[in-house]
Amino acid sequence: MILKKRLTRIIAFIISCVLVGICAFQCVFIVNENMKQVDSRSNRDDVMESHDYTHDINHLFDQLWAVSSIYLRNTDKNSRYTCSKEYEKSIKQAMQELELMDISGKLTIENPRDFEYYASCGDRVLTNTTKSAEELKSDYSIEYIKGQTNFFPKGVNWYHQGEKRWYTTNYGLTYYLMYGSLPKQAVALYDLDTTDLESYTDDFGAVLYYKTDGTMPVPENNYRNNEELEFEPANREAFEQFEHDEENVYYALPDERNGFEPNERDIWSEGKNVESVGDMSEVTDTDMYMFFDENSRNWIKVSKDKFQKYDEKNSDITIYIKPSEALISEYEQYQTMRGNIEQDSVHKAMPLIPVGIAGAIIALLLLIACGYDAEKKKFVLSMPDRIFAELPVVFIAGAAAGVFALLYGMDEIRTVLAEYYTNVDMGGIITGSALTACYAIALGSLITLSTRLKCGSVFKTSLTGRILVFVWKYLKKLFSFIRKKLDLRSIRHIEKNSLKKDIFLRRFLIRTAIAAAAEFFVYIATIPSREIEAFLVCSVFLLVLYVIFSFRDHAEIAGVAKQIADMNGGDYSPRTVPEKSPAYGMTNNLNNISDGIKTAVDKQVQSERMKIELVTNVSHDLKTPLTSIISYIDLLSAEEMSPAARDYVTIISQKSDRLKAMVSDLFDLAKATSHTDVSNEEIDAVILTQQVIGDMADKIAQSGMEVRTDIKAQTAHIMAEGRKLYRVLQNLIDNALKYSLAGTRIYVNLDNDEKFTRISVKNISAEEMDFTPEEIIERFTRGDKSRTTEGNGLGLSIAKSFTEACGGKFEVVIDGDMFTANVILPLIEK
Amino acid sequence: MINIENSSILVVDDDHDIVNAIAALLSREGYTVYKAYNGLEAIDSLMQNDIQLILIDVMMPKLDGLSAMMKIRATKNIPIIVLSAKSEDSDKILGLSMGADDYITKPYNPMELVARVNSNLRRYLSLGAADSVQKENVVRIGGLVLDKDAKQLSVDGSPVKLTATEYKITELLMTNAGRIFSAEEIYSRVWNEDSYSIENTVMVHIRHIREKIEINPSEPRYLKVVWGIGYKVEKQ
Repeated sequence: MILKKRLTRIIAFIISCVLVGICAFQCVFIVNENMKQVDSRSNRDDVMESHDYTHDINHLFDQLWAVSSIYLRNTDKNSRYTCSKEYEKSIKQAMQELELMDISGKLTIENPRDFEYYASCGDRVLTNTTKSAEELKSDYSIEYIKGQTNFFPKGVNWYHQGEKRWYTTNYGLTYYLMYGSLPKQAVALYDLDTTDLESYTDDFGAVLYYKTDGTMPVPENNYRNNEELEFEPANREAFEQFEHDEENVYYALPDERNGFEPNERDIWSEGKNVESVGDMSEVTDTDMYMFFDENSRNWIKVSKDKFQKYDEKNSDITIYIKPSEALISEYEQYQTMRGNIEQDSVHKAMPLIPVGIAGAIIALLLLIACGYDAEKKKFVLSMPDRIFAELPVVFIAGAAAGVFALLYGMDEIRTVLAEYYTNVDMGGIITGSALTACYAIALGSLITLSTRLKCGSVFKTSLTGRILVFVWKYLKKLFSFIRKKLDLRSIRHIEKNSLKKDIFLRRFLIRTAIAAAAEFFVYIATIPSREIEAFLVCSVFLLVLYVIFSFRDHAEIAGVAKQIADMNGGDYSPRTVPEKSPAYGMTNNLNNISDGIKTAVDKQVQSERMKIELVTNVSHDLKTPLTSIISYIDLLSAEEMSPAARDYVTIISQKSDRLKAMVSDLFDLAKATSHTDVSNEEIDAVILTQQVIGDMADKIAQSGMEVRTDIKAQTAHIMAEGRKLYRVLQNLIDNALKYSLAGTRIYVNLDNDEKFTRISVKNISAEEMDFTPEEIIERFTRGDKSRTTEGNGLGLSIAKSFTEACGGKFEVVIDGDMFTANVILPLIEK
Repeated sequence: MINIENSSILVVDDDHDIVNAIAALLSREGYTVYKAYNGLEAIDSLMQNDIQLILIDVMMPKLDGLSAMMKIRATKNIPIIVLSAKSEDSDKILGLSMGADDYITKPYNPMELVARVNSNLRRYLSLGAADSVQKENVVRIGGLVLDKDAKQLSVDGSPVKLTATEYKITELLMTNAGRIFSAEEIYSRVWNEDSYSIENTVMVHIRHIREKIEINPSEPRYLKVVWGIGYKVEKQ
């Protein structure tokens, strides 16, 4: 990469500006020099391309046309008038008005530049030279033959001949219309005595006369000066002037009532507007004239046919105008000289081309290299690149506009300054400097823009960008604020992240919209042509498509539903769904939930297993010494000893047995609460209860208590582990036997309701029960707080744990001295 | 035939105190007791001595009880009683299925231990020879022998006195060993009456039978209660 360093780039920038500046200066100087020479000539009146020359030749043409058409047409070779006296008078008056004739009747044609001219009307000729018409032909001459000019003469700045036409009428009017340099644009000649006639002046300056006796048209009221002839507004339009033939509205009646059936196409081809009207009187100015009859004091309508108009041709007029030879030769010389100067300028400018190109190449290289940081080895923004990006854009636009303005106004600057600085081309210096400045500004702006482009920060550095970013930032803050507010109120805000885009809803809306549009289209396409069958077939087809597409969504929802069902069933395996699927978010959420549950369950299972292991180990470690104790107590009791010693041994034996039972119970309890060992099967609670009572019959008999069994159900099928439930009932009855008030009865009841079977054991406590049901179920809590009687306080805990392990509910109700334990187990639904 | 009183018993446990206690207990009964403290020693002792019964612990160093038992079973069919602190059903089933004749959990009841030892020895020594004699109308389940002709039930060779009802129940359950009978069924088949308000009659009888035939009635070997369903005699 060249121009790696900033300094070299600055130097290159200056060099480029200097090179381009040299070019600009030189070009401006050359052009100015050139213009100066052209200028010095254009100020002269005596040269051919001057404005005066152009005016003079055009003015001469206008004069000659008027003279030919008006005067020559009505005179013979001897300049005698061939028309009536009235008309002659009218001609003379018109010619004087046009300043083409003096009072004596002599033609006065202005020709300050001594053009050679030849004008003829028919065989009447007016010329100021002896040359024939043919001889006056040249590149510099006006040539008007048969009413047309054939080419644009050389050396004339601007050239126009205006419209020149004329017509005659059957009531004595000849009307000449001549746009041009003459004092009047139009003249009206009358072949009748116009004295005492009413008159008015039209738009072009021609004086028009009229009579109200129906022999001459009456003007529209806006031309009339006579207040007496004021028409009623309703009839204002009942007038037609010839000038109005230019009217480009044709009125067309819808039928042939007026014998006028317009061919619209023809009228159109003439580029005229056609307006249909119901009655011609609405517009009326086409076929009727009105005048006021003094005798009858009435308005009389006269047909248009009465006032005929005949358009006349100019084809009999020929005009040649040729400048003097001296003028021509001077002009030609000047042209040659000018060509030389221009060629010279080009020669002078040629060496500047490589300089300009060099400047441009350097500029191009600068644009490529700009912004490069040799140390960081990448493009970076420097200080000027952080100014708002709009500024350089505006600079470029301004520089471009400045260049255009300078190029256009270069001549102006030069001429203005040339008045003050005669020796130095100050205009050129200023123009050149300004051009160079424009170039430097534009190049600098381009460089900074290019740097930003390379760093991808055009938008960031622009004012617009910053405003947008600013606005966006605050909008985002606002949105997040609103969202937070809403989220606080929304329970479902957790799902929001993934369900933010409800693709299901979006797809449903799009699908429905498309279906509705398609149905509408089908309707439009078929119903107007009465193809009901096609409509029905298409509708059914659309319906099928709609259903098929809907099913696709349904399948996805079904997938999610299945996953939920599987999770409910204990299958926590993650599902994969394509990212584009609308169920993606939901599936992901479910996967996360599954994962969480699985981890929790695994942890729990692991901890339960560890607990069991601990209990197993502890109980094993307890059992081993206990085994020795029991064994040796047994051996000891066989030995000879004093009665007191034997008592002691008996107590130790009893306590060790209790300890043994306790260890066993503890182990069972731990196992039951961990739910690791469940082998439920279908059993009958009725049978079980009877079995337990039977099993304990001897014990009951020993205790002296009475147990009343009341089994109200025939069967009570439940899912439970028989051995566990046996332990539950055994414990409850044991407890009842142990803590009942002597002489009271124990009730064992079994009853079914719709969904559950309830086994209850009731007894009257011997001691006051100053504990809550919750307390008594707790481990190691005993009915007698003094713990004098047998028991380890685990009985109810085991009963509760085992009941729950069998899927049941264990509850204790204390009502005064009555203690009730309920075992509630769900019945199997048959 | 070796007299029961002269039998030699091998006690295997890694806990010396327990071994000593059992040895004292059994010596009191008149048995000759050999001691071993792990599986390998047990096998050695077995090689060197004439032993009629083994009491073996499960968890021992070097060679555990179950592995030792499998090795012993390869050559000997003497009764083996497993003595373990593991009281789980699964442990018991494992021990029995690997060749143990009986399973006693620690801490054991010394009386029960002696009774079981006696029972197993008796069966092994006195009934072992009779095993081959298959009499008609004799049902044999483990140590239980029911002679239908003599209407006589013996446990490990010693006759048991049963009431008529008890005998009928025992006969029914033993002839259909493995099958579970509900109380009603037993009632109707034994009493030949429709069961109505049978209350706990059957259960009480069952309990009495159990007390007569089982060493530890609360942990019965033969006559089992299937809680919530009925009763059965386990097939051995």
